[in-house]
Formats: sequence, structure tokens, C-alpha cells
Amino acid sequence: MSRGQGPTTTGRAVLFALPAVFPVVAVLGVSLAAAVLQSLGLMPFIGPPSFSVEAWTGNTGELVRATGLSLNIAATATVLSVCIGFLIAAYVLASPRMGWIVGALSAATIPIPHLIGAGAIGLLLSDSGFLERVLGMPAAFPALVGGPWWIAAITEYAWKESAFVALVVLGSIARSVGDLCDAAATLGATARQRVFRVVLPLAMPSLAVSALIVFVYTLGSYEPVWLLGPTSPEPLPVRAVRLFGSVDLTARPEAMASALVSVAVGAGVILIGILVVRRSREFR
Amino acid sequence: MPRLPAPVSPRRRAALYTAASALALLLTSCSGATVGQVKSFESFDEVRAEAEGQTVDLWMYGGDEQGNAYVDDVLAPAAREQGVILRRVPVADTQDAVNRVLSERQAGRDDGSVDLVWVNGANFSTGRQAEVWRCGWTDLLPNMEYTDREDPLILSDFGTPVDGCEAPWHKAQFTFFYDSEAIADPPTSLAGILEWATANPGRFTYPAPPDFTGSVFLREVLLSAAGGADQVPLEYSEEAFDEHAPAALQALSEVAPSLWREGSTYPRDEQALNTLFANDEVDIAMTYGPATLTDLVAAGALPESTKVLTLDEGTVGNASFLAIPANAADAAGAMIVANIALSPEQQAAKADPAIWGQFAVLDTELLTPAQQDQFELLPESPIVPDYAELSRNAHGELAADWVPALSEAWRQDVASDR
Amino acid sequence: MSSSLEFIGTSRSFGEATVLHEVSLIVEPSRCVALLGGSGSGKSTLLRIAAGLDDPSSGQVLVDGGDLDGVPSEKRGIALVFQKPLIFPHLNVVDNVAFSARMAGQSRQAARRHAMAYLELVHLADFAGRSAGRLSGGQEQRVALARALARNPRILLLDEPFSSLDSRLRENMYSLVEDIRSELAPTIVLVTHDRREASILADSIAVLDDGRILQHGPVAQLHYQPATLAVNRILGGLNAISGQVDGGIHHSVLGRVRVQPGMVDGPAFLVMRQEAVRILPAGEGTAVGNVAGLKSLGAHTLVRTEVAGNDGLPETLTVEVSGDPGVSVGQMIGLQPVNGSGWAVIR
Ligand SMILES: Nc1ncnc2c1ncn2[C@@H]1O[C@H](COP(=O)(O)OP(=O)(O)OP(=O)(O)O)[C@@H](O)[C@H]1O
Ligand SMILES: [Mg+2]
Repeated sequence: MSRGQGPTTTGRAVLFALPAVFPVVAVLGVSLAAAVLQSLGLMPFIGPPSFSVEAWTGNTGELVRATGLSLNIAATATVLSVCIGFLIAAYVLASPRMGWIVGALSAATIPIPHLIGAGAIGLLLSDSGFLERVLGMPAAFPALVGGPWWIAAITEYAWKESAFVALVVLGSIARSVGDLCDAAATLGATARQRVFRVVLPLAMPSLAVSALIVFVYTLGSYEPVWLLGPTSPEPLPVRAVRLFGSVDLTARPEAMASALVSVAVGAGVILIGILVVRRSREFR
Repeated sequence: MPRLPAPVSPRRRAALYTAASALALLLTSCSGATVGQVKSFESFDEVRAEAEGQTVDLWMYGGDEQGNAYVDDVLAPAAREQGVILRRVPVADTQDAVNRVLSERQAGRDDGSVDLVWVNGANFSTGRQAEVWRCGWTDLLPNMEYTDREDPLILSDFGTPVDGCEAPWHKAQFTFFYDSEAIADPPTSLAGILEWATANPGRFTYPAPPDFTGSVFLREVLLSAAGGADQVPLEYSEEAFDEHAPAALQALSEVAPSLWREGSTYPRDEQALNTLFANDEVDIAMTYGPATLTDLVAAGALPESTKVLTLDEGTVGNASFLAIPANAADAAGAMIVANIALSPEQQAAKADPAIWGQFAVLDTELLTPAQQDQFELLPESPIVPDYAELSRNAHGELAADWVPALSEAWRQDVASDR
Repeated sequence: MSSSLEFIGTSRSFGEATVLHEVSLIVEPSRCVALLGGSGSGKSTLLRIAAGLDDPSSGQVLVDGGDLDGVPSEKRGIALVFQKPLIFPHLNVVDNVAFSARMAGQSRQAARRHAMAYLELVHLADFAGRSAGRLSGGQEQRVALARALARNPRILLLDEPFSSLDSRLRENMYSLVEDIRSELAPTIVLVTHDRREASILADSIAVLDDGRILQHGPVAQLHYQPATLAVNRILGGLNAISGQVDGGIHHSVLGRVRVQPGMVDGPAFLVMRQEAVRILPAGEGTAVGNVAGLKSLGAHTLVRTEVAGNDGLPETLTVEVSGDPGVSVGQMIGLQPVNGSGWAVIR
């Protein structure tokens, strides 16, 4: 985001963006409005509409628990993805030859759908999965899939999203970072110092942005937590989809409430994130 | 690959679907039109005349390879002979088809794209509540004469009266099975299964409701805890729920610490349970599609030592149906297909485990000897006894309203306190 | 505390292309060598090899006689000011200069104090708090210089460090380098395209052409006694008159000019710097020229003349005169070498 633009330039920029932004805003607005109406019982599948906040207040405890759980999973997955993603990027930069392979592997994981990824992680980490067979420790093998710590689900996110983070970081700094690392080396910086004192600060903006994206994505993502998590407690998206798919049509307002909480939390995090990123730029 | 027995297993859609369908609803609800008068037929000949050349879209759960093959390779050619083209539209969940009909109706379309749906239970009753089905047409079908008019499974679908709104297609019987190598002396009642589970910690579990199979198990526990199927009213009411549910939930809470993973989590669906069974993590599993067991064992997906476990008090059975939406564009053709699907030839072919292995809805006593022979010729399975034995003492399904209420209560009381 | 730097048969190829051919060059401690050569001749590559950022395909780099092979950049004690300034964008000006001290483990405060001294050296003390993105090109180059100097290197490699400075600043920087040399006395290799800069700053000049060192020697020697035509051209010599050497005398359109002793007889070019020829009125001097063109260099003018001999084709001789040459195109003039003797090269 460039600062110091006059109001006319900004106005023109907005005007140019309109054709692209309008359909998005329209679709988003309409579906959010519909979700709000449904959550308030004003748009029922059957029967007459009748206003009710039951979907929001009826089971607040579970809604709050689901929100907390979702935030926890998303935060852990984001921290892991960002750390691992950065290390992958640093490795690719540091050793061009092997790094090329790592980079290609990372790029290859990105188009794999999360559903498939989750299935693969399930086969790998479940009680009678590949890892358990390789290690041959049936009794001592920890409950990674469906266990209380969501390890398999978080691993799936960390695996796929770290590849995403690595590619974003590489894309944003690969051009300049080689020369700057050379300069740092001639100034006495060791390989480690180059990674943490040059590459890391340079990668910071793209790390921050990709962290935001990963956080919001994992917050709203459904398949891995559904496939790899325990039956209870439920994160927001699983709760929303379960209620939406319930044969009981009256559960839909609750489904919409869950979905809306997820949207609201995601939007809030994006806002805070943008503010923080802006701030840190201004302080420079 | 393990197959799912019935078209009603609630599979979930991505959350995006929520927004998309909400949008569709909002956009369409503005028009608010209702479907015009449904054209009715006086005789089957009239139906035949109208059906000539129609293309019928059969929406059905598409995750069952054998079912798909049966429709494409056996049923569709038979329909072609009678001048109707049958097209299979696979859906991930039957609910998608019902939602489609609901949306089209809200949009006021009376040339609906769904002509025929493989349906039963909650989806049928949801559709009835919303009045989306064509009703009173099944008496026109000549092949209905081979069915037992008194058969409760055909008269009511999960407690919802059928009222000629859907034609029976096949029957299913809920069945437990066990590993005969691990269990020499299997339990013979549901209470016995729970006792066995307590005595053998970690060797039993069931799919988490609202999974279809898990929900069935929950209802079986409800009936067993109440002292038998006849103790619980089919109709759902809060009083009945408050009277009978607590005992079942308590029984499940008590057995939970002895389940696989100490009941801290449950397999996601029947397929996940089968995987646990195949990996020797549990010794008892369950299915609503026992006919598929023969194939699963033959294919190595389940161990050789798999055996069906029949209960003294019997288990629940149901029928699944073919329903025609009121706004179907090719309703006459759909009736032709439903009629062919009921014919003894088709029912016998479909009952062959090598073809699909779905139990017939016909009453063999009403068939001619030649027709009966077709059923006699079906191969015997070393694992699965015949339908007569499986369905001994069978009871019908509770009303669909029981299903979400029990699932929710299970979620609150059993799943979340561990 | 300065060191000698020595390249022995250093070669570098990128795939098929050989960029450096067995370069051998010795830089004595505390000396300043200017590396002069055309674009793409391999100057930057040579510096990168010395700094450890690139490995030679063969040959060695020695510092004080020790082989640097396998020594990582950060341990070489060699600072390199790159052709591009490469200022760290995430650090402000003073922290850029303080970078090496921070890497060596000094506290932020100490490192900044240390850095300020160097910023003053390059006249940028006022810019200490500026963010890196808001500097002009020349300011960036000076920050880069200060940053390299702040490392107190034994050997300082400068890759065209002053290319984007205005002439006044450039003069300042020249005196800055003089100061640094007298105070810190590092060994310096300076890459430049500018032979004036090379002449001012360096003790000796090495000419690199197409990956080969053509000649390395004192400034005057390179100018007046080039080893080859190429060296003459690279040092800006415009005149090479073909002719014959016979008994220590070069015969050409310029007449007979005594050349260096030891020159074998045969065809040879007489190189004569344009500054070393005088214009005289027609009829005077050793040769007669016809003014073919005038080209102003500002305070100086290049006079291109056609010199016709008794035999063969006319040769072009360019003369650089200060101020108004007082001649016009087409005019006949006399030409006179400043020195009595000339310098001949065979190729
Ligand atoms: N990494 C590389 N891969 C392939 N070729 C390279 C590489 N680096 C440099 N070269 C080639 O090597 C030759 C010498 O490059 P170098 O940068 O040393 O030139 P230079 O003398 O510094 O030129 P300039 O005065 O323009 O900076 C050039 O032809 C360049 O294209
Ligand atoms: Mg260069």
C-alpha cells in the first residue's frame, strides 16, 4: 500500500477497481444477509418466517466453546505453518540445488485438495496407519487422529499451508535476497545470522500477510478437522456443516449462526492484522 | 471399497454450500411462485402413452459402485425397451436432490430437473413436510401386485405414512457382524453386546451420530433399553423422548469408558468403523447393508473370519423407495421406471450380491413358481444368512423426528462429557 | 594490519563461457590497484571470487600467502562495496552501517556509535535516522561505502563505488579514500571504468580485457608504455600509427621516431597519446596534417587530422589541446610529438 496519494488518485483507483469489486461485494453481501436472515428464523425452508434469536442464544456455551477451539486450532496451525514455511524458504534460498527439489515439492503440494491431504495424513498417522506400522508400537502409539490435541488435523494444515507460506515468501523476496545475503556475508554475517537478521526481516511483510491468510483459511476450513478431529468438541465449521446437513430443517438457523461467527471472527482477525501490518510499516 | 447401504446416510457438504444455497434461496424466494396443478393419470396405459420417449433423471447417491452399475447396466436397458431413457444423476448425498427440488419449487419451476429420487426416512419426511412429492401414483403400477399390501415396511417409511408418494425399491436389515476368531461365544442381544463391550475394553465402538449407521445404533439401544421395540411409540413426542431417551443415553455413557479410545472419540462413519474392524482394532461392527458383506470379505476388505451376528430380539429393518417430485418434467417416464424396478426380474437381479445385493421388496408368495425360481437360484453366502433369517423378529423404524433429537442428546450427554 | 592479496591462475567459467582466464595478479599490502576494463570483462567476477561469494573454477586466491579456498566470506575479513548499493531495506541508514558490528556481537548502542563515525566520513551523519528506501543513488553508494569501511577490513574491494556521484562529491570521495588509506591503510582493489579515477586513486592499474590481465603496472607506464594496442585503447589512447621499426627507429607517416630500446625490427604500431602531440603552424614540426574534424570535450578539444605520408595510405592522428585549438576543418597544420622518443607495440 503506497501512502502519500492525493484524493483524486485514490478516487480513480477505486473507480477502476469497481467492476472487479462490485460482484464480489454483491455476492458476499447477499449471502451474508441471507445467512443473517436464516439465523434469525426470517428465511425458513418450511413454515412461515418468525423472528427468533434462539439460534444465537439457545446454546451459547457450545458456540463459545466451538469458537475458542477453532481459534486455537487456527492459531497453532498458523504459527507452525509460518515457522516451517519460513524455514523451507530459507533452505531453498540457501542451497539452490537441493532447494530446487524442496521448492518443487512444496509447489506440488499446493494444488492437492485439503480433503485428499487430510485422507493421506489420516492413513499416515492413524492408530493402524503407516507410521504406526513402520514404528511397530501398537500399544504406545499416541492418538494422533481423533485425539484430544487435534495433532493430525493441525499437522495437515501445517504441511499444506507451510508450503503456501514458503512459496509466498520465496515469490516476494527471491529476487533481492541473494544479493543482500552476499552483502551481509562480506560484512561478517554467518549463515545463521543471514537467515535471521536479513532473510527473516525481509520476509516479515509477506510472512505477516500469508499468516493472516492461513489463519483465516484454517479457521473456516472444514475437511481436515472433520476427518481428523475427535467427535467432540467441534470446531465452528464442523458444527455449521453438521447443523446445516441435519435432517431437522429447524437446525439451519443454528448452522447459520455458527457460520456467521466464523465469518465474523475471520473478518475481525483480518482487520486487526491489516492494522498491525500498517502500524509496523509506519514505524519503520 | 466398502459401500454404503442406504441413500440416506447424511454426508456433509462444505460450508461454502451454506452461503451458496442461501444465496440461491434469497434470489429465488422473491419470485415466490407456487407450482401449478399436478397432472394426474387415470390408468397405466395413459402413463405409458405419455412416457414414450421421455428421459428420466434418477437422482441417487453416487458413492456405491455396484448400485451405479446396476442402474446403468441392468435397469436402464430394461427401461429403454419400454421407450424410456433412464439417466442416472449421482449426488454425494440424497439431501442434495431434496434441496434441489426445494429450490426449484421456490423458484416456481414446474419442469423440474429431478424426475426420480432414491430416498427414504428423514429426506422423505422432509419432502413431505414441504409437500414436494407427487402422491397417490403407486397404485397405478402393475407390479405393485407382487408386494404385500399389509407389509409395514412398505406402508410407512420411518414412521411417515407412504400414502402412494413413493414406490418401494428394496429392503435393508440392520445387522451386526463380528470376528469369529476373536469372539468364540458372541452375544445374542443388544444388551449382551453392551455387556460384552464392558467386559472387553477397547474392542467395541459405533459411528458417531448423526452418521446414519450410528443413529440407527442409537435407536436400537433406545429400544433395547426400553425393554423392546413395542415399548416405544413410533411417533415422536417430547413426552416419549423424555420417558425413553435417558435410559439409552445412560447405558451409552456407562459403556463409553470401555469403548475404543475410551470413548473419547468415535469413528466418523460406517466406513471408518469397517476400517477399525478390518485392522483388528474392534471385534464387532454393524451395517444396514449386510448383503455387501460377502463381497467385502471376498475382496479382502474384511477378514475371512467375519460372521453375521443375529440378535434374539431382532433388529430394525427398513425399505427404501423411489419418489417422484411434484414438479418433475417427466413424471410418466419416472413411473414406468419405478414399475420396471419392481418387476420380479429386476428385483431378483438386484438381490444377487454379484450385481448389487439389495433385498427384494416383493412377497415371494405372490409370485408364480417360475418367478420364485429366479430368487431360489441366488447364490448362498457363507457369511450372510438369507433375508428371512436376518429379518426374524425385525421391527420397523421409529419416526424420523426421533433421529435428530436423539443425535443431539447423544452429542450433549455422551460425546462431550469425555 | 593490512594484507596482501594474490590471484594465482584464477579461472572462472559459467557453463561454456569462460569469464576469467588464468588471472594472476598481486596486490601488495596497503597498496591500491585499479582494475580497469570494459563492460563484461570479468571485473566484478574477480572481486566476488576474492570476497568468497563465488568459487574459482581453477586457481587460487591467497591472502598473506594463505589459500582462502574453503574459507567462507564472513571469515575472510574482506569487505566488498558492490556495484549496486544493496542497502538493507529493513534497516535505517545508521543500522545499515552498524550491521557488521552487530553481527560481531556488539550492543546496538555501541554499534551505532561506531557507525556514526563512518557516516560522518561520508558526509551522511544527518541521514542517520533515514529509512533505507528514501535515499538518492549517490547517498546509497556512500552508505554502502561507510558500511564496508565500518567493518575495518584488511582488504577493501570497491566495485565502481563512485559511478553515480556528481563530480564534486566524487572529488570528496577521492580525498576520503586518500584519508582512509593514510589512516587505515587497507589493501584496496578498485574496479572502475574511469581511468582518471584510476590514475588519481591507484598506485597501479591492472587492465582486464575479456577475462585476461593484459598489463599491470604503475599509472604512467600504462599510459605511455602500453603493452598492447588493447591496453592503449582501454587507457584512452587514440593514436596507433602503423609503420616499420628499423634499428630502433619507427618509420611512418609521422616520419622517423626513436622508440624504446630492444624493439625488434619489423612492422609495428607507434602509440602516441593524444595529449603528447603539439599543433604547430603549417610547415613546422615533423609532419603535416590536414584538419578533418573537431570535437569539443569541454575545456579540451580533440583535433582529428589526416596525415599523408610519402607512401601508403593516410593515417589519422588525434591531438588533444586545451582551450581553443585555433584551427578549422580543412586547414593544413604542422604536428610535433612532445617527447623526443616514442613507444611502439607489435599488436
Ligand atoms: N552468474 C553468472 N552466470 C553466467 N554468466 C555470468 C554470471 N555472472 C557474470 N557472468 C558473465 O560474466 C561476464 C563478466 O561479468 P562481470 O560482472 O564480471 O563483468 P564486469 O567486468 O563487472 O562488467 P561491468 O563493468 O559491466 O560491471 C559477463 O559476460 C557476464 O555476462
Ligand atoms: Mg561489474
